[in-house]
Amino acid sequence: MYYGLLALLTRALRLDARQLRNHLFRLAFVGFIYLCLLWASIQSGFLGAPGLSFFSQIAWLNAMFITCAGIGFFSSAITEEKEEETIGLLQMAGLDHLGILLGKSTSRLIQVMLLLVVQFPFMLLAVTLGGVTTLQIVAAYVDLMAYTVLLANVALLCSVVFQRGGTAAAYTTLLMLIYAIAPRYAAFQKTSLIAMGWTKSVWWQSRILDCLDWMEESCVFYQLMEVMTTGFAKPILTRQVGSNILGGLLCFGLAWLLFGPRVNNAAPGGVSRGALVKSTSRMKFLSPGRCWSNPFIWKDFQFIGGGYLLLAGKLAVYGALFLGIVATSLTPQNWFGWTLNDVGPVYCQCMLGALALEACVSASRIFHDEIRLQTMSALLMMPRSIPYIGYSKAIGCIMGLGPAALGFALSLNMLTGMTYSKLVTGILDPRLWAAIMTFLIFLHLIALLSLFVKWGALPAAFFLMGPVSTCCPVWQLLLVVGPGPNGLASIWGELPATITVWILTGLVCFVFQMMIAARLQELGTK
Amino acid sequence: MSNATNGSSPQPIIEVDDVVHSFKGRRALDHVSFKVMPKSLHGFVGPNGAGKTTSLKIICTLLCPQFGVVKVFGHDVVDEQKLVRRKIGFMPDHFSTYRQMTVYEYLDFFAAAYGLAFAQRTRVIDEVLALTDMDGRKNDLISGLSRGMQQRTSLARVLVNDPDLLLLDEPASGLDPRARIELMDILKALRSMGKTIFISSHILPELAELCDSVTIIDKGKVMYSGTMSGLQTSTNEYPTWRVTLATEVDGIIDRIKTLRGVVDADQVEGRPDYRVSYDWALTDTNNLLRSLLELDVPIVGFTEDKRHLNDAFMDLTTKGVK
Repeated sequence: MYYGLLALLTRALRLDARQLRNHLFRLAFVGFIYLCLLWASIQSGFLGAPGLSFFSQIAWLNAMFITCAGIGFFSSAITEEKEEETIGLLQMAGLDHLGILLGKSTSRLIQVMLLLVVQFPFMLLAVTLGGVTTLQIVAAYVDLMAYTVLLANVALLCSVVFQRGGTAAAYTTLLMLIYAIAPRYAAFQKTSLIAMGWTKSVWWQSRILDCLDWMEESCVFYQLMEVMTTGFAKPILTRQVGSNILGGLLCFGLAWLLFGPRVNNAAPGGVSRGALVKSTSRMKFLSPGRCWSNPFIWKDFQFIGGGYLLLAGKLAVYGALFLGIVATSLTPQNWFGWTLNDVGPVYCQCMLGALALEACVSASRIFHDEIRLQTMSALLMMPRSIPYIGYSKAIGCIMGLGPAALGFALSLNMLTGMTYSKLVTGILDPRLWAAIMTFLIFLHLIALLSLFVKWGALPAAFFLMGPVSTCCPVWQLLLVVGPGPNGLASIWGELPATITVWILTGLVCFVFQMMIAARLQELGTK
Repeated sequence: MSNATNGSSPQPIIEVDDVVHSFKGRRALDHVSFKVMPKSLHGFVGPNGAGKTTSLKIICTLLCPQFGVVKVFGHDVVDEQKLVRRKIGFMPDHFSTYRQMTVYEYLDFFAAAYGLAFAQRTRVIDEVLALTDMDGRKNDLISGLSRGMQQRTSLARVLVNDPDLLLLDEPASGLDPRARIELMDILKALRSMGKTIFISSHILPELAELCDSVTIIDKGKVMYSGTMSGLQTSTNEYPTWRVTLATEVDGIIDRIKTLRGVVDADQVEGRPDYRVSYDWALTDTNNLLRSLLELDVPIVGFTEDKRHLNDAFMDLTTKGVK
């Protein structure tokens, strides 16, 4: 096992060392820190002790980076082997389950740890700027490393359990979301229990309250906030560090236990039909049935959008969510503090989030699945143009967003004070269109990146949006068009400003679509 | 322009004329020219990296040639892509299947993509399923099929638009002997239906048995293009005949070499078979046979020594893996 483990680890590290882009990425990361440092040093002229502000920026950036990029990076550790059907080869090479798990996850963990380690000496410079101590810096980096261990192993577990990298990444995101909101929930429960008269003097009550304390303190985000407070002088090894590492080890153990049943019995090529039923099943009315006259819409609606069964499932879930929000708001002194008036806005936010999430997932799969299944050349051989294929596929995916879009539309009706005139005014607001444009560009960026990377197009797009929005002159133009006293909206009126935003949106999306088409053509010929 | 015959000579289905194509400075195709005649089964062979897949991708309109002209059914593959695509079916060297679909859904999708109406689709799919012997598996998920079955599904997909020309890139690679033989039977059936088949393959014995014509390509250059019979006789400078004796005769090679017009003679190892090459200018086959009979040796066979495709391939292509 150790030979195999070392072989996998060495290979991963060699590959990492050989790839120029990895070094450039690290260089860019350090360069960004250097820029932040420069800015902090400039700030020192007019701001007292800018070290804390600098340190805080970098620590949060790291936490966000580890969360967003790490989800895609770690959750593909085993799924990529499943998708390429190479797990059997690794096992035949003498690697047992533990060896594969260690070899595949440790190398990735080391790569992320290296990224943290490389920043550390620069971060110590923050001490010279004032406002932060070495203890805080060390504590923050230890917290982040413990969090990385947890995230890596949660993702590894999902990677073992699920067949596709995308599904594993989605479930990792869900678990990490629970991890992020757990402290708030624990704090709320603790307050409620104390208000009910629970004390630490009663043994069992004390244990439950301790447990809630532990939950509250086990989140890295909570812990980072603690570390950032002035005068922080707590020990470095906190409950968060211990619980995160312990949680990581637990997940690793579970991944090891489940490796045999989940990986060895996996469907070949990591291909799953998802919620689709076959035409021979009893529920054949929910099967994809015969192809529509536009087969590309049919295919993407059924096989990416999830088809009729998933559509029905989503309607049920979003309906249940609505009922859940109503039920919570009817409960006096509920955890969220909602009343019936909040139902509309809360449901609207939830549906907007669901719509955005579903759209992002569809954008990451719309072309990536064709690349994964090597069907691009067969598609390009059709007597149809690339735009026809691309737009038809997009329509198929959009149809899959139906339930979330319906929920969102209904939630708009529930907003108190929403009138037709307000809706029209809102629709013509250039700021709204600027936001929609940003999201559309984000979706295009995801689709484009999915043609270049094997996994993690979504987090990569998330991080690239920063530089894209900084470098792209469209945003600067939007600032001119949009809000503010000197914006076009205040000079020309809202409609011309909105039309300008539409034109800009169209232009930017067109450029992205041209790039996607060119890349599809290139991939089809490979 | 159609593939209809013009007078006595039929127009070629594929015309590749002086095509040059490079990837990152490496020349994949170097002034490649060949023709494929209608209703023929044309083999396309060459070592790995010889330029077979690049040629196929150019013919099937996926790649544009950097220099030269390629016409399929008389249509230029660059200017008349859609016309070409409607008449051809291309099966790449990978399965290119949506493995989460059933066989029927997969064929239905491609039939609809070719613009076939609903009723027509049903008929065509039933036909191609019957032809490829997949009708019993039509409701199976493609991911659950064996490699041979997936290859058949892929072939069925190529046939849904009833193409006149099939371009098959390594269709038999990775198949077991049974699946390979069954695939070859399907190809024979397709040829008998009047389809032109352009097949790139490494399985030379099967190609030799199936093909009417062949193109051998090496390092991006066409080494031979023409009929199989032409290949089997054309590459030697002198015609060669094989003389089979009932038993080995001592010193027979030296005696054969003394005959008029004979330029070379050697023995097939371990057997009383002798290869005799002669000069057309000095003798002919009749005279050679007459001279051999005069040697008074027990001749039991006298046949033209046609070289197998394997030998031609080995002679025409360079050694080593590129």
